Amino acid sequence: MEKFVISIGREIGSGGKEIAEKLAKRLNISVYDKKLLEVAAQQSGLDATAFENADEQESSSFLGNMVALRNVVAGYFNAGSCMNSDALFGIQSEAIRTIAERESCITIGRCSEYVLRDHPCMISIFITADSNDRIQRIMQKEGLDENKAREYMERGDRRRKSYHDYYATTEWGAAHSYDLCVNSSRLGIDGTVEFIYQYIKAKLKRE
Amino acid sequence: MSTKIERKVPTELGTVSIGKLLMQYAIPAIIAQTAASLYHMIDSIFIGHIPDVGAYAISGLATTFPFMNLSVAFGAMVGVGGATQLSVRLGQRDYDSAKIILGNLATLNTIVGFLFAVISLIFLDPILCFFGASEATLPYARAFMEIMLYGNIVTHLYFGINAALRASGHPKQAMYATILTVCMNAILAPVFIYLLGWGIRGAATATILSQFITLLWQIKLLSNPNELLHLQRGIYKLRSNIVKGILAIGMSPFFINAAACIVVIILNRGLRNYSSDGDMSIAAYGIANRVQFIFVMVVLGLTQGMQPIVGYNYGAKKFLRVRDTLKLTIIWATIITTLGFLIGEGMPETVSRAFTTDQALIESSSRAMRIMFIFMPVIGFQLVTTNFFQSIGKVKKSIYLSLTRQILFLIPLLVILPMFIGEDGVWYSMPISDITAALLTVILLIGQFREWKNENINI
Repeated sequence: MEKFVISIGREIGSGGKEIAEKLAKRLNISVYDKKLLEVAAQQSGLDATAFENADEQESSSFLGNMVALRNVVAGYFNAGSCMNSDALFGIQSEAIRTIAERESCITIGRCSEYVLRDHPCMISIFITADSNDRIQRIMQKEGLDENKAREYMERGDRRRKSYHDYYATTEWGAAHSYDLCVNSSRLGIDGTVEFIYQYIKAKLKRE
Repeated sequence: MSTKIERKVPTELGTVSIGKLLMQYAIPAIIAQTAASLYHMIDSIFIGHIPDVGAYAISGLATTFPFMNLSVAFGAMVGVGGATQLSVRLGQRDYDSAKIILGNLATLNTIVGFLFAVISLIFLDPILCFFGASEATLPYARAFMEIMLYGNIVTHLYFGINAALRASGHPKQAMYATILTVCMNAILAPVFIYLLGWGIRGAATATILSQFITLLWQIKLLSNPNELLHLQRGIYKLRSNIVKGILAIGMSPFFINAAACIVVIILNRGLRNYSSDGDMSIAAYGIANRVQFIFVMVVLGLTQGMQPIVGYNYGAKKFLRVRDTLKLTIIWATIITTLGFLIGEGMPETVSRAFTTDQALIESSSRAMRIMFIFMPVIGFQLVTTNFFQSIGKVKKSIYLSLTRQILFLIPLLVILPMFIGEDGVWYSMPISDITAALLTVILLIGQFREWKNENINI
């Protein structure tokens, strides 16, 4: 069978990661989450921390631009040789493509649905959930009280959206940017996994 | 020529000898940096030698510097914003989006360039007076600026498209375009100024004409339909999300350039208020500043060459290479600024004579140079270290340091010192600000090395 990639975008606390992992088990393929960064580090000779520091952070902060862009003003080298977050994103994208070429897999976040938009068999999915469920999940996972968890959620959404919309031309979390958007509160984690699994099966059959 | 954006990871940055890498990366950057400042210098030199033209013309010309800074600020806002977006899209091989960004960049450059020119032309005299012109120098400033503003769209497009060329994988062509413009200006300026007898207007005409010819060449390069990214129909209509993106990124370079403009305005006004002969002092500052600027630009080019080397090796945790690169760059930068120091302190008359034949102006600009260049050797260290912090991702420290020398320390000094010691207060503000900024830089750098020691990073 041809290699396929499932790109999963997710809101913080939507259970996206858990869904991705269960899905991977059923499909018997790997999940690339933070592991993406390791591949990128390996390919570039850089240390993984360099990528972690820039990982899904707001890229277009005013302060960041102030200096980072002076490189562009007189940057007479390939964009790839300046180690700013734009360059790191470029290297990371290359890693995503390498992985997708090598094996069928699930990628999480990092604009992978945009990076792999030309992949012959890519299925993009966005997972959301009701706010209350998300807050509950964040409280449990991060050990925060309700207010802190809400703040954490809102900040996370802002950060992911700004990161995504800076690097991709599509809009984060909008239905028209993905093949399938699903609210995990409706069917629960396992129900959603089953639902997405059926969707993937149907889609792969059509190919 | 092919649009091939190589996302090849430059692993050579982690292995090849540092001296070699620094040369390879710094030389093109130095050429780029100095070229732009060179043609203003060439203009100044030619104008200074127009027969019967004295200190007034040079002073008038000096009051146009902040004006042109401001124009560059608007041009860079669009150019840098667009080029950054362009390079992100090309890195993703998203040519459809890249094309539209290129088209929008050109349209926006035209609109901003046009608006800036129209508004400036309407309020030309009041603006020039605000920037430090007097009744005697205003005619010269106006003559020069009028032509520059008529050609403002050309200037903005020329810089914008050059930024796009660089971002789209044609750094060499972009460099040739810069060099071509400088050389053409150097040839055309004397023709217009002396042969045709257009005087100060001729200098401006030569600048605009050389930019225009280069612009035509740039457009030809980018019109090749075999290029993945080329100028074509349907890409020029502004799209709100792209314009927003360009402006959001472009705000930062805008503020950097606008700040530089404000400092010169404060300086010129200080000289006008406190000096017995304001026009002469402004002209003297214009000459001394031109000279110092060239050395600063060479150092800035050097630091741009350093950045990828430090950035990569820091990311790869090759800390010894990071330290060695910093050391080598500081040594080179100090050699360059010390050379400037020796020239400025040792033979300021000779240098001034290149810019003017007016004996009184030669004397006052020599004096200006002697004061301004006192602490010049430390500027190299200060600039390199500021950029070093940027390269290792300590953005806040880097911004803080780059603001200190030119704004945080300089502006209060410029305002306060003259209240006590008059005109000299303006002159001494500059070296005092240089040395205090350098001391602060030393403190921050030592702090950084301590921090690394505590984290057991062997650097």
